[in-house]
Amino acid sequence: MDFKKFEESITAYIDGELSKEDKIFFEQKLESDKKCMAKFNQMIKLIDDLKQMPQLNTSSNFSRNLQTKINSNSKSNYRISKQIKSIFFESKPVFNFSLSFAAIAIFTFLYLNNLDVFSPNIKSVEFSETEDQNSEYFEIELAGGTDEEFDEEFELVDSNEDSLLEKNNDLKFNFKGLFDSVVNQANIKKSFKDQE
Amino acid sequence: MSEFTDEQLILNFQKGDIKSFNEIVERFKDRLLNFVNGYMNDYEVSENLVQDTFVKVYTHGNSYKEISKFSTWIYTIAGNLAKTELRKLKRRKTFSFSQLSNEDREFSVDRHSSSDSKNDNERTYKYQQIKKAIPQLSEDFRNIIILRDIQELSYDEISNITGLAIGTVKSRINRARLKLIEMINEK
Repeated sequence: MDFKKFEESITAYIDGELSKEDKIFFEQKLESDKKCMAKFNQMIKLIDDLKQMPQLNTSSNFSRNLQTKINSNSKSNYRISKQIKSIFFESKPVFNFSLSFAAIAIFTFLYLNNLDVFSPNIKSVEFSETEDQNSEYFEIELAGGTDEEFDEEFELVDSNEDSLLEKNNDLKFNFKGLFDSVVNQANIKKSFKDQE
Repeated sequence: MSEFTDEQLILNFQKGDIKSFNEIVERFKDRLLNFVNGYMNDYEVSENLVQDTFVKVYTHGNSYKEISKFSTWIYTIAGNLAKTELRKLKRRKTFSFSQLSNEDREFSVDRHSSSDSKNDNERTYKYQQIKKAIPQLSEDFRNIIILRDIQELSYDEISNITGLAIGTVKSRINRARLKLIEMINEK
């Protein structure tokens, strides 16, 4: 057993999870190699210190502040549900019918005419790096000067995943937006730090 | 503290027993604070996030199902809130560990009350070294070592909270400990 393998096995040894054979090798190394013995002792000491480390305590007004947050949360939920209730349940049936009819009519008109309401024009896209290599966060500036941040609420649908990075960092994607239908497509330039 | 398990307390709370909720708060507030502080390294922000965690438990208590341990559930909520907050801070690019360091904050609990002041000083110095080193660990190592060696959670619970396989949890803990030793030795 070399030193690296010894180091990798310390926690498993402490937890009693080494096989009988590995345990013998581990203990032989421990007794014969001072460096290994020192590392092992440091690990034991560290675990002990961590267990005994003084802990942070919540402040004395923690419970009071929590109560305030819970109360304000309940009040706001109550207010919202009351407003919804008053609009849809306490108003007259004629008003409800008119409201629904108007909403359907507007939706149909805009959808059939393919107006921009359903397909936001993308002016610029800015990617920000994350620690997680598999996820991206991006800011999209929409036409009309609306600067909005999207994060997980919108989905990037790559239409040609394999060629994603080969086209001079051009990223082609479909922008999945309102009503969850693919409504726009954009070519944007994506810069990778490691490629700069 | 009652002898109810965490799971019994949340079930009681689901039936409308507010006292059970209060007991959950008492049981978990400090543990969660230390856990969240491992992500944020900022006392005020961490305490706020722990409060938000309990608000979520209060408002979404009914969504807890007895298929997992309650501690796993609440740690996951707190961890998710912390990750979201951290992400926001990083995206605003105003976050810096050095700026948010709480080095000056005194620990409010001293588990050791030895009369030997020299030993006390050594111990305090050692704890300070560890305390400074932990935030410098990568996030993967930092959280896992807090959950295992400070919060003393089982591998199974850590696996559920982090979403990592148990084997990965075990190897990361070993690597995190080795890294921590290396960092302390360097100082």
